[in-house]
Amino acid sequence: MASINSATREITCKIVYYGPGMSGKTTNLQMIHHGLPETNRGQLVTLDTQQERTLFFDFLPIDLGTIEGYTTKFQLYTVPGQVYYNATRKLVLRGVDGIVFVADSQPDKMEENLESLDNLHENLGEYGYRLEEIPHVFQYNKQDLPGALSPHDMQKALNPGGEVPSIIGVASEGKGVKDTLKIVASAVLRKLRHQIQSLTEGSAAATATATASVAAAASGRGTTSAPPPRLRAKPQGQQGAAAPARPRKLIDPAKLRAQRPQLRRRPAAAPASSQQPRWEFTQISDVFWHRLRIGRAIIHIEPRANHDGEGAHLIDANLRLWGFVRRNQSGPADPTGPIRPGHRARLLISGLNGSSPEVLVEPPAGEGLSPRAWMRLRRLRLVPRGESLSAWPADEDLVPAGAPPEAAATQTPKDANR
Amino acid sequence: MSPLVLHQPALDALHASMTTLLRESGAKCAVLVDQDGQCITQRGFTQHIDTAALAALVAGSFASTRAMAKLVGENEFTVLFHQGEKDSIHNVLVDDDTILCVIFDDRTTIGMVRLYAKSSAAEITEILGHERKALAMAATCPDRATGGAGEGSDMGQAAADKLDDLFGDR
Repeated sequence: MASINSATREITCKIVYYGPGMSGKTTNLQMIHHGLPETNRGQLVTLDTQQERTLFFDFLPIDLGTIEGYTTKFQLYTVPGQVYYNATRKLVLRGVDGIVFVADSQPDKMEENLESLDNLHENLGEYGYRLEEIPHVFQYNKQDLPGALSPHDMQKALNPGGEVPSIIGVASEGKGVKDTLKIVASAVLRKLRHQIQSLTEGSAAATATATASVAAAASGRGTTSAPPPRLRAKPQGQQGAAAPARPRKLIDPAKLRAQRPQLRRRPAAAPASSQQPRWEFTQISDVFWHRLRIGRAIIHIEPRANHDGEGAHLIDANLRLWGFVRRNQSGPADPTGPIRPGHRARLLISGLNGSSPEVLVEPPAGEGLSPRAWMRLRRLRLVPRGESLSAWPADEDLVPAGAPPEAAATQTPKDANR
Repeated sequence: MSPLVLHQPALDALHASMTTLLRESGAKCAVLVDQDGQCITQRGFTQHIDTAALAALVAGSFASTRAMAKLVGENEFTVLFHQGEKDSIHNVLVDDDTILCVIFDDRTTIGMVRLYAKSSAAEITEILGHERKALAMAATCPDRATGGAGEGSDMGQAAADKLDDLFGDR
């Protein structure tokens, strides 16, 4: 959330550099710090571990000087990339105005890139934000390394629609760093222009009364306002947009997996199913394919984590669906946490993560940090294409689909999972 | 995600409240920080302090404290106190989005700072609440909503040009 101080005519925006561990987020900030004159940059604050890995965040305030009469400042943050720092990573995203996703171009890092991108969607969702509504840019970093995936391949995997601007980067040499910042800063300010212009109009009245109101219709919220401008990557010579004319080979997920089996982090094995009563839940849910809603499904799940790789493919010939429900490798605190009636499930299908089918179950809003858990998918019935969805209820909560025979008489659904 | 927009009257009211806090408690300076890590305004002797970095760190520490609170079943810890040899920091949660950070030294006591910070926080809550309410009302007004969507000058391009200048390659 940008802050606009009309009295001092100052705008401050927050940009977060996101991406997997070691992808070069901190290096980006260091290069910006190095490249800007002292008068336009603040102190680079780094909260890192003894091994110089970011623990909480890096922070660099920069001052662009006066733009259209407003002193314009950006606060640049990085997040810790390691999967196990998700709690702190989520905190840094609060109030974000723009995002730079720094992806590592090494083939064996693609899985981590995808995982981090999914994690970004997930963490933004927890604040009620959507990545599509926030100005963002991809930086395909480490392009100088031998064997690095081509920008085209990176684009295909991370930004398949090609709608999001992308920059080729070698952050350690400063290549692409400035262009990335330029694109994201421009996009953030363009999105803010509605508020700023309204502010200019309202400022005279505002100073007259203590309760002056200011139009702050955020892009997309106003009923008649134009949608935010979609940014396109500008061809910029060698550091330009990431779509070379020459055809490139497709990324082969199987090959990727084969290249680095050692990086498949598996959460601890779930307790044996026999220790827990069987209890199925059902829900009508959206089905996503690469973050696009492709349909609706009735899903049946049982409250038991299934992290031991027992895989059942979700293939439906009628719908030409293939893939797997993605494993949450960033790891919930307690994968075996209880789910209850009233919780909601989300089904994600992804083609690049060869994991066993699982469903993310989220507690209803307002339950604070109570466990989110990945549950085993029991059954899936898809709504065939063409069938009217009007007869289907909107998103609904999980409801018990059948009581465990041994527990039905004595236990409530809540108790059954404890 | 609408930005927080502050106008002169609200800013004056915030300054008045913070000045009273400093005068009555004998603290050195007060910095109003939002939970996103931005410095809203400041009063007192802040010349020797990098308030931008301070704001980011205060917000970060509050955010992690909130997560800790939830782990032990609390919704929030509303006060954070960092004691130094000479200077100390007292942070108090003003509302869901704002933190008041008071820096003081051994010329006063934590009790005095707590007392006046609490009453100042209540005033600030009211001022900001008023401002946010006005903002929310303005945001729902269609006439005003269309006001800013027009041509206007391209701030985005201006920012890109500024960055080109600052990086010194033009």
